[in-house]
Amino acid sequence: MAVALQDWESPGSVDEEQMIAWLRDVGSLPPALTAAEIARLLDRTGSHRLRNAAALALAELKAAGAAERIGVLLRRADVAPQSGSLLFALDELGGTLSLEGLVNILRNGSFEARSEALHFLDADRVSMADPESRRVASAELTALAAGPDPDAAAAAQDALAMLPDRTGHSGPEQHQA
Amino acid sequence: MSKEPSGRFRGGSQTRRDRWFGLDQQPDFEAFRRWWHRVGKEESGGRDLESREQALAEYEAWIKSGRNRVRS
Repeated sequence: MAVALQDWESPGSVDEEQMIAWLRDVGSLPPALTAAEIARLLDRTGSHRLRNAAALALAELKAAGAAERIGVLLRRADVAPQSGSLLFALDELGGTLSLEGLVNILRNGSFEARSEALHFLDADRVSMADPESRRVASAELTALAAGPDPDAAAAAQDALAMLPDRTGHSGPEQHQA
Repeated sequence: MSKEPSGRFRGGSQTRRDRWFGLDQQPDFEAFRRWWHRVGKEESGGRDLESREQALAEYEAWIKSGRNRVRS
């Protein structure tokens, strides 16, 4: 069963529950949605439930380019609060998390997303970018570690403790001076 | 600190262990994590876990329900 793209691009035209059911059943034959349709949905939807289901479906399909698409989403502040399953899908795909994405998740993400993001750092799967980007990210994490949000501060402190040998950062204690 | 087959590190600081829900020390943590993302979250309303307490509650509910597993 093929689903016309406009069916889900028009708000309210396709029931969200039905779309999620199709995405969760993506391994069935014949599939209701193609990988290209799911990728387009991932890029465009404003629903975190649909976004999660689309990312998980692409991970199940091992779709080409899916890790890069998810990586783009993980840099968005509006996506970070509900990004735990995007990070899980990225993990399933064997992808890497950008440094920009890591900082975004630690600043704006949920408890779950921060845990998933720190896993990427723990597993040495954060792309370190250029020296200037690393310096900026280190400064942002240092500010976050001293900020008013205790959960974000604790996550940033954990991240800084894992970053020294990769950013030139010399440890959280020296940033308190 | 030792690296698990999943890529996670066991050990490390107490702070980091706590951040991983305090659950990543459990031998079935990976099965729970997979179930949470693929099944449990949607059944609980579709939103991310917001606290360690919520994570523990979901984990305990998963244990009580028979540790449903999702294929890899």
